[in-house]
Amino acid sequence: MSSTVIESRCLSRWFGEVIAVNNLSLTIGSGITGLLGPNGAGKTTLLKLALGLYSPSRGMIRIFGEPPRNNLKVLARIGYCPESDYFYDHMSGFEFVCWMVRLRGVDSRNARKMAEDACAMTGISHRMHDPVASYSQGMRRRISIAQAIAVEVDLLILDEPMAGLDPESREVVFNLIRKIAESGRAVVFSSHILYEIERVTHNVVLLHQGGLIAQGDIREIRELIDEHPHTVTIETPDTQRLAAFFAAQSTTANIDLKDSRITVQTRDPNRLYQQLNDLVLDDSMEIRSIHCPDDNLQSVFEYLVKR
Amino acid sequence: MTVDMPGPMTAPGSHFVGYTGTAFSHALLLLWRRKHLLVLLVITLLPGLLPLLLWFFSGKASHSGPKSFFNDMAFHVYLENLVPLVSVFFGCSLVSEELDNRTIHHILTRPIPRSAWLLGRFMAFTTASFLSFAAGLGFLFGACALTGNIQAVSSNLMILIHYIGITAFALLPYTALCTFWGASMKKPMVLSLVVIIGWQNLALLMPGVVDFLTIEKYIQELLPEGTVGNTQQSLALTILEAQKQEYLVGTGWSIAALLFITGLFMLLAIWMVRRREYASARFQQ
Repeated sequence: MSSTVIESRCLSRWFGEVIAVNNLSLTIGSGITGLLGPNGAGKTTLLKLALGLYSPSRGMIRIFGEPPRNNLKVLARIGYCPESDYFYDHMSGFEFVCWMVRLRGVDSRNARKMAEDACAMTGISHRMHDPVASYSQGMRRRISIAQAIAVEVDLLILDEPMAGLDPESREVVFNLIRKIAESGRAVVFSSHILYEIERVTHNVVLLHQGGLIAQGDIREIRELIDEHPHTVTIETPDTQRLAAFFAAQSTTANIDLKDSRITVQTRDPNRLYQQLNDLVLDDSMEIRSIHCPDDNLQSVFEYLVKR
Repeated sequence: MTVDMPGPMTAPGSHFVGYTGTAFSHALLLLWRRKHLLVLLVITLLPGLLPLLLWFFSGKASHSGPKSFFNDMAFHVYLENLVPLVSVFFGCSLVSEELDNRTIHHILTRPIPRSAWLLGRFMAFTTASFLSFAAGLGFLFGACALTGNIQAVSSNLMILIHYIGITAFALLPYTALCTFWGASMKKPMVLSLVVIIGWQNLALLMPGVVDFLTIEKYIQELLPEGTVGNTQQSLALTILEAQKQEYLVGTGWSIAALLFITGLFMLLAIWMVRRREYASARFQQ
């Protein structure tokens, strides 16, 4: 089997006058690859081209050496978690995953087993028989990931898998991605947050305005990125306590409080994320959500493009 | 938290029939869970209440007798109106329902043949409609027999079976036509209603062979002998009797035409599903 999983040559895709992917030539091999870029960089379009959901306006894309559009042989080897979580209403999470497996041609008995395993892997077993409508955003995301990993595939495509996940769920998904990659399968996941990608891989593809900026080891651009203060917005009922905690950190550049939200600017994002994880896992503070504004990456990319 | 990966579990290869069967059960389950089947059953059973209400309030089911009343109701209410309307609703929603719910991504990224998925859903929708209409016609027949001459039930049972058969042949082309429109455009309902209700009634009035371009023309050819057709056909026959008689088609050709229309539009719908980019923003708005 060739180690090249995704290959594109002069790939372009436009929608009317909007160019979503612009003359993109890249090769993605096995292991974990992070697709990094701000909103509108063309990440989702590239992934949809790889899945055959779009056909190229110009150029070509090959998955396992074959064009993906309407290619069932290729689709049988891909698991996909879309960017948005949409499910069949009036179904439980387990039923949804089970049907998604059955629509891959798996018989009912095996599909149930696979769905159960996938729900267990994503840590949703305790609620898997509840209606999807009753799930929180994080649980919906986990179900979306569960349907993608339920069947053993050669390539797993995850579009913004961490979006809307609480820190505990993120840890589960990080571990899951690592485990899947360890079993020899290729994982491509997109994010506009560098630190999410950095948690699981050093291999990144940087996209900006539909084009390829860089591809390779994340550590090479790490220093450039660290020059820019990183902004994180945290929702918590303990804003005062959290603000006091960050104020005591030497890496904190600025703190802004508004209602139940605290916005922190830091010079060491990795440390900040680690501290947040520790706070949540120790149950010492309630963190409802963590949001990383896209401006962070936008400014870094603008800087990289200008270089 | 640690994660234990399961052992290798590869999906066994499946045939086209297996995929179609899965799509069929999936669509049927959704129809049931969304209570579409219940609503459909209520709609198809409602006309059966009419002879009961007439009998309750006036003492008899109709002036023309129960058999004639059943014929009129089966043709004018079911075949002429309810069957096309239900087909428009189900046919149009066959693809657009997945687009509206934004679940189309999940389907299009499964290794299921598009034709099997579409065919499975089509079969689920038409089977559900057919069973509901069969129940509705059965209820109407029972109500007519109960309020009219109950002795005539056994001798007229063939009429009921005949109408149930016509309903099956009518549902197929209407649903296939609307499936094609549903696969081709974002909002197909209005066009479907205009063509099926508007165009058909107009074409049946026009002289010449224009009525051959309607589905109802072939459905009317299947009606039991002695059944009075709809007013448009009667008027057309009166005005252009000689011409019209020349263009009448037999039962066999009508069935063949209805099956041909079904096959043609299903093939076009499959082609459209393979061709369209449903994941694009245009279809997701």
